[in-house]
Amino acid sequence: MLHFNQFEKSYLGHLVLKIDNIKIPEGVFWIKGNNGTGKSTLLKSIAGILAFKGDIALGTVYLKNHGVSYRRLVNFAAAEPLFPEFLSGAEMISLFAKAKGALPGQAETLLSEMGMKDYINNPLGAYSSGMLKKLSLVLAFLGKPKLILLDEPLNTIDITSLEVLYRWINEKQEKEQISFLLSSHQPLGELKLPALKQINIEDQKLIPCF
Amino acid sequence: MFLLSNTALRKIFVGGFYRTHAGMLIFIFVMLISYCLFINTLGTVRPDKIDFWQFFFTISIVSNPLILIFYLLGSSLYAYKSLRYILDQLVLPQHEFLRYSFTSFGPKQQFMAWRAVLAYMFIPLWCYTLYAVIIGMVFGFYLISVGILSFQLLLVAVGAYVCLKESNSFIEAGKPNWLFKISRKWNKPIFLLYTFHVFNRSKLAYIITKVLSWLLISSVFMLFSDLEDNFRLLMLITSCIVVAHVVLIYQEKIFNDRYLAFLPNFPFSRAKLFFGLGLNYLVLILPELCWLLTRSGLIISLGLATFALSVILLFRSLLLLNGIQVKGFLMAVFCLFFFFYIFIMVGLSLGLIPLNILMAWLVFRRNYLNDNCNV
Repeated sequence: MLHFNQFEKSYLGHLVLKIDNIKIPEGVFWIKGNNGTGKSTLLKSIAGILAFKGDIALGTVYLKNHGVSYRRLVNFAAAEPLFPEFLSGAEMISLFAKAKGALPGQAETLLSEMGMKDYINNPLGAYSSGMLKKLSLVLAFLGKPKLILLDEPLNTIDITSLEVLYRWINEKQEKEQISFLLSSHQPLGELKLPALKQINIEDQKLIPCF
Repeated sequence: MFLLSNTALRKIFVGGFYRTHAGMLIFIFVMLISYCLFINTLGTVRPDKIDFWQFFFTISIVSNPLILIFYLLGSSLYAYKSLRYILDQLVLPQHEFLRYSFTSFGPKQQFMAWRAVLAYMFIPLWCYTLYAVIIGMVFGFYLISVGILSFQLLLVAVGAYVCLKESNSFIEAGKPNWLFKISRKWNKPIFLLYTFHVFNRSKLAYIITKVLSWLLISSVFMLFSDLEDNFRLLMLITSCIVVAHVVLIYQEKIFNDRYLAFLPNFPFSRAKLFFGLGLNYLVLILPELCWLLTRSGLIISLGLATFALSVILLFRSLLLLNGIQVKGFLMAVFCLFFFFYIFIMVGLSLGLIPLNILMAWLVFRRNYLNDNCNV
């Protein structure tokens, strides 16, 4: 599913990640690593946000050659999302839904299940960090992605919302074969995510444990 | 009296203020004031008269009531900008700790600390005021010299009092502002979000930019009043209009990096992203474009608008260069401005439009995401 080809990412000449040639199959994966090992860097690179050497492909769609098609298939939720405070949650939803080609009614279902309908029309400047996090998770599920990247999805969200998130991940994986890469330094609920497999980041390398 | 011993306050407010406004401060204090005072005015003033004009401008502050009023208004604007920055920072979540730590000091100590914070922020203004006051004292304008200094000290004291009151008050979160209220039903295209941000958070920068733009337009008219070719004059004016907007261009880059970090994940083509960068500015320079339209007709003003867009795209693309800082950006802007001036004067104005767009595209393509291996 996800193919790394001579991937290298450095900051100011300091090598952070080097992945020669790895194929990650479909599934739900926990990217595990200590602080500063490059989990967020890896996810942002896969999302097409950060520059890197080499290439990444989703099936036969290459990020550097088919940027638009690739980005339509890969969605991303940041660890600490920051959005313009003068927009409302509903406006962010509409912006993402249009860009990612969401189906009519998709956003309403997600918002309703995440319990966000009451405040979705409020300005983002009034959102708590948990509310912003939930919004960024909903945005990552919009459209017709084949891969969803969730950076620290456990940060700041409540237990009820976490249950919803686990259910979404299981359903999307089983019914639509959508794959997930979840970065977290905290243990993910392996009982709640039965298909969860682990990938470690050690010594600037990806080490699949499956 | 103004020593600031509180490291947190100094780093958050003073350091943050100078970091955030470095572009604007360099532009206003170095480019505008130094340029106005020390430039050789294209031969209209004889070299032996330059010293006289330098003194004339400075001494006008302490002797001419009109210039004095402008200077005091400028000082008040600067005080408002400094105060706005502090108040905006105070409500950020990462600075909330000040409300349950710093506020444990007595009101007098808190007031002294805020006064010192504002005094540090006023340093660029103090420098110029001191220069004017010394000249004023030497030439016997004692009352006005002391008056300017007292006015600025009063601004600092009032600002410190407002900070004291605000830092000890409760945060009123979730109150929608006027922009949110009037624009909630509007469609907001992603490439126009910075325009909304300007009217939400950077109104003063926008007003200063417009004043500067107006000053530059008037100066070009005065300096080149004998230029017979109207099109060359309008091209010069258009390049001045864009140069007046460099602070907004710089701030747009910061806004994009901070609030639209998700944009590179959107399925947009590079061409769309490239031309999308210029969309905000077509709205932001709309007043100037309307003025050009009334002055030069539809066809010429369309040409001028395309030229303005090409220059903006070039300036904006330069900001994608890896590690470029304010100083480097401003130097590049003024070198290019000089280059445009030469091109316009030798009658190659129209050639600048494709040249700018091509250069901007090449810089953008090579440096978008700072990905040098992505081409």
